[in-house]
Amino acid sequence: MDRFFLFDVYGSPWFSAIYTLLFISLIGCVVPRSWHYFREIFKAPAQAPSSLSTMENFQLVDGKLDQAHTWLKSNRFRITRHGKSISAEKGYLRETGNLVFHLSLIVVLLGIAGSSVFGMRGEAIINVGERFINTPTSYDNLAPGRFFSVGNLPPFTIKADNFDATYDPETNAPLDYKLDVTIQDSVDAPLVKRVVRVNEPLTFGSTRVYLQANGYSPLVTVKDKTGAVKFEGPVPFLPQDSNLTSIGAIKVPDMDPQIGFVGSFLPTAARDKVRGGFSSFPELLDPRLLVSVWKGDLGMDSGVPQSVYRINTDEMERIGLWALRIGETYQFEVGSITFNGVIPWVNLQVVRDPGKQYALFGSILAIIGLMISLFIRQRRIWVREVNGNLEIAGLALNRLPGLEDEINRMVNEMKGAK
Amino acid sequence: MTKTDWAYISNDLIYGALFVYTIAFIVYTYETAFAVKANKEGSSSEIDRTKTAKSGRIATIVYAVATTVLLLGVIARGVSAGRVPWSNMYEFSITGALTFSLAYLIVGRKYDLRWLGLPISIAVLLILGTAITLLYRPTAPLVPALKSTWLVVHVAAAILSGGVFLLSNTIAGTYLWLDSMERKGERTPFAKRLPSLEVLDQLSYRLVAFVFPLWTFAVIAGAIWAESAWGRYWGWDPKETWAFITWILYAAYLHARVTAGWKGRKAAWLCLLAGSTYLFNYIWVNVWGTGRHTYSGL
Repeated sequence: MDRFFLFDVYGSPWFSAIYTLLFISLIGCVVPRSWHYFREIFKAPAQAPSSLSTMENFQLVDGKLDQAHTWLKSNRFRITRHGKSISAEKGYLRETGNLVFHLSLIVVLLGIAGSSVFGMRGEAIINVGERFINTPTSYDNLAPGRFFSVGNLPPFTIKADNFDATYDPETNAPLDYKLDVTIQDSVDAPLVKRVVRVNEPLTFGSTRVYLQANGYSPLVTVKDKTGAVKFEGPVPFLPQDSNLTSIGAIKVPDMDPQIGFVGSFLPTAARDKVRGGFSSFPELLDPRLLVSVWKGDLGMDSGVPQSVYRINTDEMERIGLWALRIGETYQFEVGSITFNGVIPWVNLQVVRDPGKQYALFGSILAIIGLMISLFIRQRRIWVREVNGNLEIAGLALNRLPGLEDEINRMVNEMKGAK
Repeated sequence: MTKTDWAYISNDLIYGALFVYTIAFIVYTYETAFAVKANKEGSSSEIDRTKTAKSGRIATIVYAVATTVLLLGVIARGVSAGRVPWSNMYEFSITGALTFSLAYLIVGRKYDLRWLGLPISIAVLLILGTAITLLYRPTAPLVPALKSTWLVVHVAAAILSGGVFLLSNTIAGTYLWLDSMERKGERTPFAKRLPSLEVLDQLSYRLVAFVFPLWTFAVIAGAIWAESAWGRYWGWDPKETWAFITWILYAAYLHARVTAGWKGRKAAWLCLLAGSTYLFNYIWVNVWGTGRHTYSGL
């Protein structure tokens, strides 16, 4: 299945082939249509059919062709005369609506294509207190568009000063996520304080930065037997549920043998028979770091990329298991680990979407065009003089009601004018 | 008054509305029974409608009272939450029942819709009953992703469109039912009081044509909101996808009517199909869906 990209349908060659073909066929369809509508707008009404009596809304009245002409003219019909007959048409705006609709589809497509070709999106986890510098290496994953050079990333920096997450004590549901940041548009630009929330992203030109997820990074210190510090710092753990029960891994390749900690972090520790240790509330009410200690080969030199949240323990042996409170230290065979505290991390999503204004503009235009083409009454009225009488017939081009009344009004007003 | 007081008031009002709707339902049943009887006795061309007309008027007044009580209940729910009452399925359902009822009453001022009273009161009773028994959640504050002015704009437009789509669907369904009846022979006594096929056909079309721009607006407003909350304006989330399908089908329906001259059976089926994708989106995606539109347990 992997061969056919079934796990990554939207990024697969056949999917892009499909939408490229759709794109081409749509344009191939829309452009001739637009040309057709464009000409329709200026077209004179077609000559009256030879036999009006078989047409819809047929009436035979006495009157003169000029009277009909005057009425149609004062009602702003577009008129052509062929000998003893008049063709009149009104509601050409409908053709304009058709034209606008079809052309705006192209605008929407160009907007979408522009975003995927000249845009980029990426994600980065930063611990509170750290600074995010917008360069390719700062990202955990980065998906640039085909014609977007990563060298063109705008040179802004974002320092996460403080993050507050508040939760409803009854339902555990989040109430507010608030990230205070200090930003700099470029290296020499002044420092500016900002607040980022879920619905309030940061904007740098056509790049926006969204607050998308958050979690906790336990601060740990790992020492070897001699007491030398081998690892120190915050380690982001990945939340597994809405109460932020998190998992993570601490890898210490500098120790001999190599040491790895497979960990769970519980912001509010609880325990039951089914789940074992879990978190019962997403805030730090009773934080606990559960670690199992493994020694052996971490496999980091094999060249195969590996997850920072997991450890492959195939080549390793477990030598300890412990639950730590803040400030506690656990001694194991070849060293010790100290749980110093917890800081939150936030996941920033960086999106450059230069085509979105065009997509929005295009879709609004498309809707307006569609409404016009659906609801503007375009209709034709034909009048022919036959033996001193007038034959009148009409055709509602988009079958909206109202033409019958209009013709009756015309007949009445012509009589009144006599 | 505290927020809890308002929550209790809202609950009482919703139960009250359910009660008054039940009365309206009974009066509509009575009216329908009368109409059937009159149709059986009278010749098919001349039917004495005075009795039915009277009970029908009473039923509609009771229905309007019930809708007012429901309106107050929805407002009280909003006051108790300190926001618009549109953040979970219970709140969508009570607001949806309200817009559906309002659509019926407002359209009923122009067209004679009293014959629809019975099925509509049954539908509203079902919606409210399900809301109270299965979907009820205590008032809760909004999760961060919903904290936006777009909540008001986007959800209001979506619910309002839903109410009118549902009404149009009911009428299209009635059309199909009567049409198959007329094909087999005469209308049954009950069906004789319903409007002609032509009227039903036009009415369901006009409702769709009227509310389609609003639905379009709901989708676009949703895209604008998604851009600021989720970092992309369109991501083929299940709810987005189905909203788009509904949009395409209604657009096809309008296009078929206006340009290709569809009407009658074919048009009614297309209308039903389009409307059912809306309902599917509302029920399936909320209850069993996995997308980003699912918040806090329904």
